[in-house]
Amino acid sequence: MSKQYLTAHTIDNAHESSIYALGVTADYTLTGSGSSVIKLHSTKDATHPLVHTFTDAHKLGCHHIATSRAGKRAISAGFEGSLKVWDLENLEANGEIPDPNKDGQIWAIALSADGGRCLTGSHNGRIKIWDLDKEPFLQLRDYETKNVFTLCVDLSVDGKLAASGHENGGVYIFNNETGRMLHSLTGLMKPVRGIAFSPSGKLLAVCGDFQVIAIYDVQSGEQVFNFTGHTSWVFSVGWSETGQFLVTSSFDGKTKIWSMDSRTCVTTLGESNQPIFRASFLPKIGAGENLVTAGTAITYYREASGAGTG
Amino acid sequence: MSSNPEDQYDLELSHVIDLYQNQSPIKDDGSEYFGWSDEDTVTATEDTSSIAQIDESQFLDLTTPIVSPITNEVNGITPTDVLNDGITRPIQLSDFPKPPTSRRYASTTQNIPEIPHTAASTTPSISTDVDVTTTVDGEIPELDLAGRLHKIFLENRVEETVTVIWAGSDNSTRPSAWVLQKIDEVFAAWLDVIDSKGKLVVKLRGGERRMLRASRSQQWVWRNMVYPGPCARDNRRFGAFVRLLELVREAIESDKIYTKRDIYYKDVALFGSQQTVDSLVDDVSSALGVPRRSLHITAAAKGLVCGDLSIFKTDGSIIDCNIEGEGVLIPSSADIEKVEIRDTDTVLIIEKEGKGYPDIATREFSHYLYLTKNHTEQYLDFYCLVDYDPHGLDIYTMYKNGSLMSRAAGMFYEQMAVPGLRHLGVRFCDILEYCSGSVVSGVGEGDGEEPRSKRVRYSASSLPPQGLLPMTAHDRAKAVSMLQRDHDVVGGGVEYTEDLRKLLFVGYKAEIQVLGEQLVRYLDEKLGGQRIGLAS
Repeated sequence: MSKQYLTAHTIDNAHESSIYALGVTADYTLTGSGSSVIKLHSTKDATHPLVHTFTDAHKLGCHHIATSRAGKRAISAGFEGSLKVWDLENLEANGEIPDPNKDGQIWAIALSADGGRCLTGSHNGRIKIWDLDKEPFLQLRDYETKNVFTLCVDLSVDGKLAASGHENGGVYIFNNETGRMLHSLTGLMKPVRGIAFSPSGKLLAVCGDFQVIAIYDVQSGEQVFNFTGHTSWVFSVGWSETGQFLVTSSFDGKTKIWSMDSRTCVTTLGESNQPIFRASFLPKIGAGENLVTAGTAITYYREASGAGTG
Repeated sequence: MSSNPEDQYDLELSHVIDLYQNQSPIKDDGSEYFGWSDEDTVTATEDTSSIAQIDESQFLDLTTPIVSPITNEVNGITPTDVLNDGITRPIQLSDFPKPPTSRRYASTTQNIPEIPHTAASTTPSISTDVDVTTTVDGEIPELDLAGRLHKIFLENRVEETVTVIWAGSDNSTRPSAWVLQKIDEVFAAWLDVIDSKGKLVVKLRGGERRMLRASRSQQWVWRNMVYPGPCARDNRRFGAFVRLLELVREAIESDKIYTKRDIYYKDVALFGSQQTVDSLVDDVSSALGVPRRSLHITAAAKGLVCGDLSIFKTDGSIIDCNIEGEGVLIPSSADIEKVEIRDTDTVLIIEKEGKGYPDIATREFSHYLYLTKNHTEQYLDFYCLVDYDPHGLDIYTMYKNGSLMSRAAGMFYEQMAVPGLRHLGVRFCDILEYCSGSVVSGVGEGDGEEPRSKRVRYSASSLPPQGLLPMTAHDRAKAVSMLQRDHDVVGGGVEYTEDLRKLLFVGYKAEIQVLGEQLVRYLDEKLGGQRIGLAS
């Protein structure tokens, strides 16, 4: 039951330095690197040309980008500590959460499906929800954890749940309606680098330096099962639109696709051994599941047997 | 003469300003310059409680008329001089802060033989500016001098003397935190004094006084730091004292080690001479009863050199550095006549555990080697092996460029840099190879290294291996400030900024020890590979 993937397109010199941040909408592939700009390549066009550049986005570089499901808004976090909001319809800056203070600096970010709210995780483990609809952005929720560096956060599609992963292996799930912590999941012990709710909101996928992809049931907090196969730190995890597949990327340059039905790895991609910091499925067009990865280059992959091969 | 209170405040003001402006020429000899003599500060005492009873007659009481015989005796300066200074040059508020001019310092710096070449004498004003700026911008709020002085100038003085006594019995095990606390006590007292317009006396107990005649009472040599002092040189002396404490504080907090020479270079204009720094350091260390290393100050060079070369010193002695397995302490550049390099073509600078940032002697020596040809008339190749963390990368930059501080000051930059220095490791790619735990073959950054498949790998279960550590909040702040600095000063694009971002993003740092026992092979391959790279 393995899937066949072809390298559809590679953009080698998208950025001068490593690409840390990746956000994908139907229109744009947004990438951030050590440079101060965010680049927008076309997602639809088979040659993926550069269509826009946000200049002076983050002067010391950008390490995280998140996009809304609707594709109208994106947010980015920079090494200098600020968060910026981008209007993808008019391709312009749309506000900023400035660097609050040294300890409260934002690291991990996520955006709600409609783009109206964002979730941030900071150096000191604080998890906050912000209303992005008008400036100055209001802080709607402020969850306290154990003062450990937040490496990743995610919001469920319906916006009711938030999750965070921390440097000490801590994973927390919050109920945004009650403002309470739903689950504190321990046992991973090593940095949690990627966290993602399934499209249905019932499952939570978690990855990190423990090399395993752990799948939790959100309501019970139980670990349902594990995917094993990576042999290095796993940097990112993402779901396909249907929730049938997971994509993960690792420090040793491997990108893997996992089937939730067969509970196996169906594809391993990656010729180089340079770290792949982010991997994401593309919004679905046709039957195939296409994806994009970012590390030293931006690489698009196409499912060979699917109808979307065009 | 003048009993008008306003005149007195004029006088005080001028003293304090002198602290930063150095109106009078500075003499080379620190003790003479500060007027330190044992005679005027000896206190005989049976127990320490009586130390607190300060003989007020030692100090000029500013509430009494200025002309007093006591002043004459104590300071050896005619009161008229002091007074004239205040009267003939009354300080207007609009005058302050008065920018220092280079003229005032020229004589000082030219008199100092240790300063390499000529850069110092041509640019002293810059260093002075930096000094004033850093002092004012420092953490210590009392240095908002203009505002404070304004208050002193306008308001009536409350004559109140705060006394801080440092008379610690010798105890080498006191932690640095204790030293910090003592320093902060002085700063706090100084703040209080400035607020209450009183007087601060810091009494430093020196060594035991050797008496010729038998005496049952213990005799100590005391050094007194007075603020505001009766004359300009007291304030300069106090200023130097406070600056030293500030530097000690900085050294302890950032875990750096300064040599006495480093301290002197931090503020050439204020200290005036190396000797001033030396005696101040000795005074502070003996008063606190801690060894110099507790103040994070070392007497001399801490860098070691080993290799086929000889150092000819100015005193005629020759140091052979070719002793297997043993490093030779690098002497100060002032003591080096020349260096003879024999069968050597590569210099490897290594950040050794516990040594931290390089001192000036080591950097000057590196620079000297950089300009020197070996016996086959070839210049040497320079490589640097540092920890993979923000401090390691900062140390590499310091060797390569000179420190940014000194570059900003336009001083010593040329004399200490090794522009041809190359960063050998530890690199991000080494972490990939040594620490990610998997079988990864032949990773390099395309610099023509041979595959290392023969090496033992860490097993996947033993993460993180020795030498790999999580980035602390301090490391993160340091990395961001270095990114910021390079962005501001150099305009970005410095070679190691990518490493800094990867440190931040991946969240792990690595010490040289990550290479473990494979260090020798690592160097072999890296240097071997680099040479091939050079030849092609």
